[in-house]
Amino acid sequence: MAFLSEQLLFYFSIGIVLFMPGWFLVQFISNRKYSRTSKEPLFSSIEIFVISFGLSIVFIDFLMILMGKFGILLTRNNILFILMLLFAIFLFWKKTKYFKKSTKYKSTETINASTITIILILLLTILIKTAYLRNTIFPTSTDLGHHMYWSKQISETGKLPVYEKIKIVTDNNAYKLTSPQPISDFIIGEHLIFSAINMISGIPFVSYFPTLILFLINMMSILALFILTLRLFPKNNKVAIITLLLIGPLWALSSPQAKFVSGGVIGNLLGNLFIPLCLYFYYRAFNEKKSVFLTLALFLTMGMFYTHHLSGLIFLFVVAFTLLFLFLFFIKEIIINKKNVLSFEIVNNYFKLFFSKSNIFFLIFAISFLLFVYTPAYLINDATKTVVGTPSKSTRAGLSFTQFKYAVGEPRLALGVLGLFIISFLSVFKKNKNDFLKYSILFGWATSLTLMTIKPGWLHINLPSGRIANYVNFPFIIIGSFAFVWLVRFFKKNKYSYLSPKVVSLFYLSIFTFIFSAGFYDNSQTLKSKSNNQKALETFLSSKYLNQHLDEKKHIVIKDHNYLKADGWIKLFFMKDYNIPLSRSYFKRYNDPTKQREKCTLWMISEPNSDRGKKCYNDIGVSFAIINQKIDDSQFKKSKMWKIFSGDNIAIYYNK
Amino acid sequence: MNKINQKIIIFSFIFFLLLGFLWLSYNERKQTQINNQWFLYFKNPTDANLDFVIENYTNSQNFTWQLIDNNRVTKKENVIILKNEIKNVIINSQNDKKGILKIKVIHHNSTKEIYKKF
Repeated sequence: MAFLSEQLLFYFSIGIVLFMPGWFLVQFISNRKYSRTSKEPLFSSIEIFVISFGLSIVFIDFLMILMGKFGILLTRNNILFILMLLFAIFLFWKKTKYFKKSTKYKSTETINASTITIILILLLTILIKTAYLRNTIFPTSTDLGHHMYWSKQISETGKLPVYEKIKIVTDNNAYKLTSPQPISDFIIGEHLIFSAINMISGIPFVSYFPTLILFLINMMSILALFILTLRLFPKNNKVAIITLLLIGPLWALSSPQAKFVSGGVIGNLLGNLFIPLCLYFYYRAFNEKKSVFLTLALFLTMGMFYTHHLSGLIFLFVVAFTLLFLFLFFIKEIIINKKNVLSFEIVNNYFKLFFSKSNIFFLIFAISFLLFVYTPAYLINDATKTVVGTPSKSTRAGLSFTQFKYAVGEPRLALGVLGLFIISFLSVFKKNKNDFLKYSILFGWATSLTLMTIKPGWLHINLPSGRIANYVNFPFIIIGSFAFVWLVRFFKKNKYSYLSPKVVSLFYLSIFTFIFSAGFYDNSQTLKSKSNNQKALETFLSSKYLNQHLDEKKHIVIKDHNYLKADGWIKLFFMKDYNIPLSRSYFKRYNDPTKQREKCTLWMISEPNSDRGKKCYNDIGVSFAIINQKIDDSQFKKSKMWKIFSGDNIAIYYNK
Repeated sequence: MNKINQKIIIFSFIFFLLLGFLWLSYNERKQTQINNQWFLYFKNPTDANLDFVIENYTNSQNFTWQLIDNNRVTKKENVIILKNEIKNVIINSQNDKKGILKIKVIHHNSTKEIYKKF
């Protein structure tokens, strides 16, 4: 019964936090004058569903930031009160003269083969991901633990988090802990929605809920790509359906899909939701010349920069490359086709698009918000400098072509490259200038990410190439799907009817076999055989025990990251500081020539009896060490420390 | 674009995802149960008190504990601890403790020990 009520609260909180605010916004926009007069609805049902989700995330982020900055405690009651107030305003608005009943559009929707295919693809996608997540649903991943520390801090204090942590430094030949120092690794948008869900549902952080929210974000990003493709290729559903197939059940588990869900890579998953949604709105704004879409695009872009700076930076490159290709297309129009693409009418249209009331209002809001309400930590700490420049490590110097091929997926890359050739051909020889924008977006998206992944030095960026590679498959999937559908139509044309139908069928069959075998092989390689929850439960039990005996003022804890399961979650039991417990990091990190790191955390576990190990304990005042006793017990046995806890794997030592 | 039935797709999507969420939540709840492990720890880890706790999550109920004072067994007792039970064991020891005082617990095929050094 408790499980059932918990579940109901969980779905209620998802609905009220992650769908309702965005749905209100969509309803409001859809009721505007220009929308009511158009021949077809502004958004289709799937678009409303996906857009509501994306807008809600940004809306909730800004709402909670505003609440925090205006001194309103972030509690369940306060958040619910404001959301209910919004609901009341919405109902009131529907009764006023400003609300016009929406036009009844004649529905042409039918349950046809395409509908059933899409449903089956979605079913298969959810089935495969669920099967994988069954063994990873128990919270163990380090990244998720790190993020949930900040979300829990928000929930516990009711205030916006201050991204700081203590550090070990050397001062006059003595080691000491600093006061909390600012850190730029985290961005507030990654944490607020989890706090809101936790506060409203009451489900603890160390549970299934963070992973399920990430699963939802991942599935919505798949649908975001689907609606973007539907808009880019409105005359042919097949391109969007093939896109759904290539992003859904095939390669469903590898990065950045279900593996990122279980791994808690929040920023990347949200980035993969926001990038297609932003492109969707920018495309519609410029294609349909509707400024409200530009406002929504700017709103989502701003939300992305308050959520994940890497995604934001990648998006800037996508936009820059899109503009470059658009410029080349315009030049081609002027020089080759002798068209006046910069007539007064066109310039006037763009002026109206940019300088509409909604855009100006939003830009004032955005600048005020950035300057006076909340500036992301990475801007305050000037962390942007660290991502610009010559690659500082081999992992930032770009992937090899083989690595790139596996990051995209071999068949997806092959189809994508073919698609790029087809798009180039169509751009040069086809006269329809309405297609330039979409071709520029697709070309800009694919080439910018390819260069950022393979040749980051050319673009002067200094970021882990493997992380950028997680974004690269989206444009190649859309372009590849377009290529596939284009090829099918190409062969169907009468003038190629000399080809035997058997040969054409064999061609399709071989492509599908190639795609399916590669996609499902990738899935099979990622599936985990069993859960590691028992070791994680031991970590949690020992952490709870230690927390009961911790003196907040006196006791500092160290733990090992190499041999403990779910150790990234220990800090959620203490909630003292992001860096408490101190951690013996991966051994290779202590030998990184590009980044000098303190070694006390290494010595305190690897050699607690050595002079330097003892000095670290004494100088810093570390009282407890959590270790894997199967690996590290021998050196602690020789020390003067007390062994106070013993499990199957974990031992806790007390330094008196 | 509107030829596909979008509402049916959304309802199917929500239905499938809801089923997946329910199943995963239920599985996670099942996984929170500690199984086939037992734990030994001091009740008061930072002072000289030697009272200790055994948490049993195994099917076997028989435990033998020993108090070892500098390699000499001074107390030995058998206790029965049911599955999922937490047992507090009180040790009445003298105040002037010296050397290593160790609690050793033997259970089934495994042994665990905790100690305090004075």
